[in-house]
Formats: sequence, C-alpha cells, structure tokens
Amino acid sequence: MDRTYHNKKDALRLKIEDKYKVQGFINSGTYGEVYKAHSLKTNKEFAIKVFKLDKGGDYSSSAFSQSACREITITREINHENIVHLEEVIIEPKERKIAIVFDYSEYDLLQILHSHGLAHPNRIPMHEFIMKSILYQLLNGLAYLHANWILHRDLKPANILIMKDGTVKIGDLGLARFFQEPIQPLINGDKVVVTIWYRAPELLLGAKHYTKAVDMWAIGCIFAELIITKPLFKGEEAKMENKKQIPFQRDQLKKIFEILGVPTKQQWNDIDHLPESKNLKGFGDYKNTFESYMKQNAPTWNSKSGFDLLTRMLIYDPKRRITAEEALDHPYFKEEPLPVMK
Amino acid sequence: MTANYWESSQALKWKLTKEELEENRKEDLKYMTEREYWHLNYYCCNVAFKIGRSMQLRQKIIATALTYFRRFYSRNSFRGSEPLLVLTTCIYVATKIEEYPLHIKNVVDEAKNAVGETLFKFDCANVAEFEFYLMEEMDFYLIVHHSYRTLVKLMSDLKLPISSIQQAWWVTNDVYRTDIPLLYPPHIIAIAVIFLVSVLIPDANKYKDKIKEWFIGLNVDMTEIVEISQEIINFYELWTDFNEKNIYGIFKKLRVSSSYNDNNNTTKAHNEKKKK
Repeated sequence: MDRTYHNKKDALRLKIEDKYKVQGFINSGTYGEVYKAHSLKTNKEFAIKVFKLDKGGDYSSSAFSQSACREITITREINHENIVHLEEVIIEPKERKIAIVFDYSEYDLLQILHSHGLAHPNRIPMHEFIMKSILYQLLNGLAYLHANWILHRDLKPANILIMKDGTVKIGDLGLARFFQEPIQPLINGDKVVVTIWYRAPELLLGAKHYTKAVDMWAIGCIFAELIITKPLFKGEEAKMENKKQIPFQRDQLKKIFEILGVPTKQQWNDIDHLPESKNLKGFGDYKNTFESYMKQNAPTWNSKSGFDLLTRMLIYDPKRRITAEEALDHPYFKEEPLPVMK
Repeated sequence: MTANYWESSQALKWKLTKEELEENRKEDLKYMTEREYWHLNYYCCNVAFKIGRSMQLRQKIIATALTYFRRFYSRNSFRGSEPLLVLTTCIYVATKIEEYPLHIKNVVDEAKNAVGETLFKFDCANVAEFEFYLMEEMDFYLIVHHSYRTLVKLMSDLKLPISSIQQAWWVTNDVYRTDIPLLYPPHIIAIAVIFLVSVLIPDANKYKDKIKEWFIGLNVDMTEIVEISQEIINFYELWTDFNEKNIYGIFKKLRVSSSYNDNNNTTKAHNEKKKK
C-alpha cells in the first residue's frame, strides 16, 4: 500500500498535549473520559472528551462508534449559544484515539440542584428569576435543535451545563440524532434511550418512534425539579433480564401515575395502540394530584402561569404536548421576573 | 445548521472555487492527462455505484460518499494516495452519517467484489485506520445537503413527463462524478439539471412555454444554471471514451512510495485479466 499520504499527514498532526495542558479528570462514562484542560496558546479552559477505544486492540474494527459519529457530526454542524460548542476534534490514528474539545463549563445543573436540594435538610428553593432564565435558555437551545431536525433524546440535569457567566448550554449530544426522513425507524440500533426518570410515558409504553415531544417531557421533568429541588418521578429502573426482551418499566409509570393520574382515552386518544398498553390495567385508580403535590413540595412557589406551562409540558398525549417553540412564547416568560440569557 | 443550506458547513466551509480545484489538480496532471485524471475518478465512482447497487444502499448514501471523495481530492492528489481505499472509507463513513450503519467487513467485502483483488488490496484494518484520516481531511464536517429532494419537488410542480423525471434523476447521479457539488448549492444544481433535461424532452415544444415561464418565475441567476449545464455536457463528452480496461495503466502512474514495488504483479494480473 502506498502510504505517502498517511506519512505526510502524520508528520503534520499535533497531539492533545501539543495544544493543551490537562489539569484534571472530570468524569467518565461508557463512552470514555472527560478531562479539564487549558489551551497552551490562549490559556482558555476546555473540557476534553476522550473516547474509549472501541474493542481495545482490534484494529480491524472502527474506532468511531455510531454515537461518537453523531456527537461529532451534530456538534460540529450546529452553532447556537445554548448548545455546547465544539472547539475541535483531535485524533491520533496510531493510538486509535479520538478526543473532542468542548467549552469548559463550571457547573452542570445536577450540581446546582444538589446544592439547593439534597445537600440541605430543608431544601432551599431556587430563585424564580434563576429558574426561569435556566428554563428559557434550555428551551431556546432545544427549539434550535428541533428546528434543525435534531432530537436530543437524553435531556437530564447532568447534561445541562452552566457556564461561568451563567449561560446555559445543552450538552452531551451522544444520543442525539436526526429525525428527518430516517432510513431506518428511529428505534433501531439504540433500544433504550433517556435516563428513566426523564423518560416520556409513550416510550415507557413501548412507542416505536421518537418525536420532539420526548424531549419536551424531559424538559417538563427538569422544570418541576427546579421548582421542588428533587426529581419529580423518581422510579426504580427495571433491569434487562435477558437480552431479547426490553423490560416493562412498571415502577417509573407508577411514579408518574401517582402524581398525574392514570391516563384516560380522552386525554390520550392513541393510548390503546401502544405495545405495552395492556399493562395499564394493573395500576389501579390514581387521580391527578399534581397541583397539591407541587404546593406541598414547593410551598413558596405560586406562579400560576409557570404551573400552566409545566402541565402543558407533561401532557400525556405526545401530539398535544407543548413544543419548545410554543413554550418560549408562553405568558410565563412575559411576566416578571423576566428571564435573561445569561 | 442542518435545516438551512446557507448556514450549513457545506456552504460555509466546503464551498470551493474552480481556481482552488485547478490549482490542486496540477500535481496529478504532471503524471497524467486531464482525461486520464477524470477517467480514474469515473472508475472510482462506478465502483461506488456498483457497491450501492449490490448492497441496496439509498442513492443519498452514495451521493454523500462521492461528495466526501471529491472533497478529499480537492485537497490531495491521486498520486501518493490510494483512491480505492479512500473511496471504500468514504462509503463506510457515509453509511454511518446517513444513519444506515453497516459492518465494516461487509463494505470491504463488497468493495473487493466490485473491484477485484488485483486492484483492491485493502482489508478492514486499512479502512478502520483510514477512517481517521478521512474524518480529519473533512475537518469533521460530515453533513451533506443533496439536490435530489429539491429535484423531485420541482419536477412534480412542473408536471413534466415521468421519463424526464427518471432522466433528471440519472443526470443528478452523474453530477456526483464531477466537481459540481463542490461548487454550487444543491437547489441550483437541481434547477440546472431540470434545465438540461427540459431541452431533451421528446416533444419539447409542448412544454416550451410552461418551462420558460417557470424559469422566469424562479428568479435565479441563469448564468450559473448555464454554467452547470455546460459542465454536465463536458462530463458527458469526457465520458464517451471511458473504458475500464485503461484503468490499470492509470493506476500505475499513482505510485510514489518506494516500498510499493509490486509493479510486476499488477502488470501480470492485468495480462491475466486480458486473457479472460
């Protein structure tokens, strides 16, 4: 094989350590590890996501997983103040190493919620102005993704980044994908999506197609969590017992029904068509107690329009659930305190 | 941006000029004629279409792959590179980006089938390695907008005969053998293809007024449309004497590496193939 081209490129390529000084480890996941680093040139801080080698030393398999490809392609293409910015991708073919350099964020929403909630015996409510500004920016980023036919599919507090100046950015697009004229149904390939607490009821009931409404349900859960400083539907995940069958997430649905009531045909016309709808019978009779639940858990929060928006995000029927674009236009954001972008 | 071409990486990072392309081509033209250069490219495109057919890939995947291929050779020369390795990797990456992921081995096996083992000497490890180089060369901008959708929409608005729609689709496939997708926005290419095809309609007179009116209504720069049409016609001219048999000779001109000294083998294999 003629390696003239390979050799020419190898000679020119810079390694991670030629451009960045790694300062410390941030976290790790199934994909790999994230480090904090600063640019040797500008001193600016970055988060570097280094992908774990797919199947270790197997040189005949691809090092770019489908998820790495999606994350690179999507974050490289988009440009929005409320979505994490990709600075560059660094590769080291010989080591089969892929590193994505992102903006460094001081905090994620999980940490912020933790400081208001779990860390304190008597939860400290979040200021309405902060809550509203975070939600507004989240919706602003999500509306942009949806307008570009991208679903995030894994929205949760840990994936929402807060920059030093207060800007909110949607992060971790490793599960994101396009939904415009997909060649295969969206369910193929990645069967279980979205951390269980933020998973939409249609997915829990076995829906085959993801829609924008799935992301909006997650945003609704996050909004409620900002208000009560604890997760709204904290279900126990049913684990996979065998590889062929996806388990029915009974406990998560129970947690939802306890607060929102069991969905009726009137609320959700297509409910009988969902693969797992037969399981609905075993749930008994829960009534909607959402309003009193919120009053009890956030006694000082009394925004009428805020509660209206929240209930629209948590509408059972995905077709009737509010969209990101509509939510941005909701009266909640037009009354005091007005949201800011930072 | 993925919804709007004008804010896409294709428009902002990967829209090239004829001058750039000609400048880059100079290196190859030291060793081969312009005709040979294009015939080598057409051969590689044929391989891509062949793989697409045998694996039943959607046209869009092959179009994306060939866009990567032309982008790659807008910055590099055929000489010193391995066009068939580049091409196979382009197809493999395109299946992932277009959300139709296939196993690397299937793609490599199909490429081997389509090319034959004489010219195709690569395995999965070569493609998995080259994936890094291709991604890097693309600067990790991998989303490509195509003209098929606009084409179908405009053709159905215009209500031209079915045979013309089919013809326009084929011409669009051929456009990916050229540099046109690197030079013009996809919707302009679609309009140019319609322009060209509308001249070729059997009873063109019947449609003449309607088409004329339609073009006036489009409010596009007609010089660009004519330019693209001319380039498509140029392609068909270069295509007339294309013959796969001449490919071995051209491939021989690509070698730079001294480690690559199987000169005789290729000639021998070529002769064997001739005997068949």
